[in-house]
Amino acid sequence: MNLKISANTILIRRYLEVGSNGVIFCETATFGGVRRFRFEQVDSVLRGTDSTLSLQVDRQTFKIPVDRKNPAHRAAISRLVSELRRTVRRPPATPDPTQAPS
Amino acid sequence: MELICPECRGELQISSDRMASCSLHGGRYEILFDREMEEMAERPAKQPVPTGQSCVGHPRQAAVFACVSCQKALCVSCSYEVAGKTFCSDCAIAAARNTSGEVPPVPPDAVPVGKDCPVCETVNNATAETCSQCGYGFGLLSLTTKRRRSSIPVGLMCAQHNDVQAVATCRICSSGICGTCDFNLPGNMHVCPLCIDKHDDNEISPGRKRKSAWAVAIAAYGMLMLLLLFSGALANALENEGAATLLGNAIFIPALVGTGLGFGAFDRRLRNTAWIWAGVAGNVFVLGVYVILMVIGIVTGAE
Repeated sequence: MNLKISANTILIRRYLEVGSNGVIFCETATFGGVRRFRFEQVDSVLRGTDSTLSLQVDRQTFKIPVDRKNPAHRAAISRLVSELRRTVRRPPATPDPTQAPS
Repeated sequence: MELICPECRGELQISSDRMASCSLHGGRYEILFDREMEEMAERPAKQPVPTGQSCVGHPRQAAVFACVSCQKALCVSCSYEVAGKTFCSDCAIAAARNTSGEVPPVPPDAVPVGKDCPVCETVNNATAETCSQCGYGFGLLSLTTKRRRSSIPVGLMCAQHNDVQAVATCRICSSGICGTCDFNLPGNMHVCPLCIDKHDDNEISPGRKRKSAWAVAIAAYGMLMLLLLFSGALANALENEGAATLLGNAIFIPALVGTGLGFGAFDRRLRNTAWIWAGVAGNVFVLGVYVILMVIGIVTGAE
């Protein structure tokens, strides 16, 4: 199930959806404006003092206001961060030089 | 990748663990996730990390590594890893050589990446300037977006820096590109600096040429139909209601399609040829005349 942060206004439709393979960010007044990113493409996630969540993909930033008290927003953010952490490259295991080869 | 302030797009400075601040407008941000920090945390600590020092190349960035060779304080962007150790750029080049001081030879089974023609999909030689089948000239816009798993041949060195291992191959000339020379275009396409310089900014893609050609052809057809209509050559057809409807559709539907194709070929960010403008203007004109005729016909019929 996808978790969604909605922050619509009268004129602008804006949401951030966390899926199984990536995130969907939409900010538009009419149609279109939907951006899809895989988790591997997201470089950083920041939260400002005004509770604005921002994603950085390469040199682009996408921000959406969030409500810290909203459980749906908190769940979406924690799911986003955990999925991003799973995509972090880990160095290959190096053999212990003290162990003699069999 | 440095952190960018979402408000002013300035560079953020990491002030403490999991907090960053913007030097331009003073905003403070909590770092919920930073890929580079997470990857660094995964690496085992193999060498001392300088504390409280700034990077020699970026005085506003905190240093997170020290060059194993010359002990320079480095930020993430200025550090290069060779054989599991972190060096500055100059020492990394020296470290990349083998003990004999020679550049490792390219293995005999290393095969250069070929080039796919976007028009006829023929696989050409890596150094081909035109397609051997259809003669299409390879340029930046001929870069295929097919996601092929093409691996970099082992031992391939950068064409500009012969001592540095290539991290990608140029999509146009298939030469090796190091991290410094790499131009990573949208769609994960890597191009070398020489091919970027040679790129013709006025190039029109084959897709746009096709659309504009069809749009112009349809506009010409629409103009011919209007000419026949106004000249009276189709007067007999107009007397029959069914034939008149058919005639109207024979003008309207192609004009609608032509307008779509014309606008599809049009791109306000790139160069638009006279043919593209002709395709758009011609079809819009035919559509406009048709709408006016319909309105006149409706008004006349209502009276």
